[in-house]
Amino acid sequence: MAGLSYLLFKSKRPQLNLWHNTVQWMIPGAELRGLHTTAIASKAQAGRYRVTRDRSRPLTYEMANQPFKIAHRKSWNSWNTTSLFEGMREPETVVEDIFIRKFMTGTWHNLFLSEVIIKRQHNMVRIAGIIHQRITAQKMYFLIGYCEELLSYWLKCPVKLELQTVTDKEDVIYKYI
Amino acid sequence: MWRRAGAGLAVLSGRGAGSEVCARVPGAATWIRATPAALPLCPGVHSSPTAGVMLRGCGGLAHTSAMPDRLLHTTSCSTTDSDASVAVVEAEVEDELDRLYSQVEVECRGHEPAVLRSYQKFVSTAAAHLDVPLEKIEWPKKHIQRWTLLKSIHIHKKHRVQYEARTHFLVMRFVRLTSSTADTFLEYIQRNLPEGVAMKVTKHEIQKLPEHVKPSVEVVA
Repeated sequence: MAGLSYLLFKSKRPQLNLWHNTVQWMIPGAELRGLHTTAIASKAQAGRYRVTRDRSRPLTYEMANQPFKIAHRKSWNSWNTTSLFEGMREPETVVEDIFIRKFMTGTWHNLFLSEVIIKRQHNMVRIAGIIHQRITAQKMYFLIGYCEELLSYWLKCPVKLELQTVTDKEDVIYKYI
Repeated sequence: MWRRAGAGLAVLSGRGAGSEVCARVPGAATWIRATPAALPLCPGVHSSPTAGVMLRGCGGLAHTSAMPDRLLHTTSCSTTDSDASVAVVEAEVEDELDRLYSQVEVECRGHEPAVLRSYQKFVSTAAAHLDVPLEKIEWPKKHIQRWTLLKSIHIHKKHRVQYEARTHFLVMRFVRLTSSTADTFLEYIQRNLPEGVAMKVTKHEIQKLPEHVKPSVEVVA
């Protein structure tokens, strides 16, 4: 959702960690006993990718920056005014965004190298993204027209596609982990 | 590539016919679909003198507080991109005198202060070049909405997650405008409203006192 920043709630942790540390050296083999002493509060797994042994997993810039970097090093994929103070039509817009993303990634088979960016200005929906140049230009033009036409009938407003293409997939990869 | 020959012009006819403008976009695909589900946003709607017209920089619906029931019909007309005049008057309405506004207040809201600052720079430069008197620029205090939610889907009540949504405000006040100036200027700045920024326009009109309202005889004499 646009406009959210992620803050971690500082729970009362010291008690739990003290007990955890105490137990570990007092009772030999405590680790093997399956005592659940992990602190849950420090775990966060949203938007994070596991490191591979041979550093083979490619990450785009967007994937490399975790959710707490939104508004610092990252911006949003959906730009609209629904979550502003006294914003309107928030749930419908969210559902429309989900539909648009599914539609775009499905129509352009394995061609999207970036996320689908959705920008709403006045009554227009502008869809942006980076496409891999694996199909011919004529096919791309057809798909652009097809998407614009069908989505505009679905959403009942003008839809414009602003796609950029890239010849090499490596161009969008930021790092390997 | 995919160009439309004509532009859909939405004309609102209701009580007090005013001059409407269609939210055309320079470039391709200039049609506007006008269905009850999505009213095209018309920046030049004249509501009652002190009512605010909420204009969204997004695909939100037009919200005018003063006119709840309106007839909507579309007529197609051909427009060109170099068309400079943007105010289109309905054929049935006679030529009206320009309305006078003592004040036109434009309030912008957004999630990012940098975007609002850049938009303010654009608007003040445009106003300076077009000789539109900009009296005041204010930055009211931001509004933060916070939620504290459970982190886990089941139990673990002590572990929460906090989110917040910040709305920043920008208020610009233009004074001593006529309706045609206001319409044209607002149309221009609204076309360039960035995505994710909402705008609310409040117009304060100067009207002549009605005939039956007169100062009493003692005061006059």
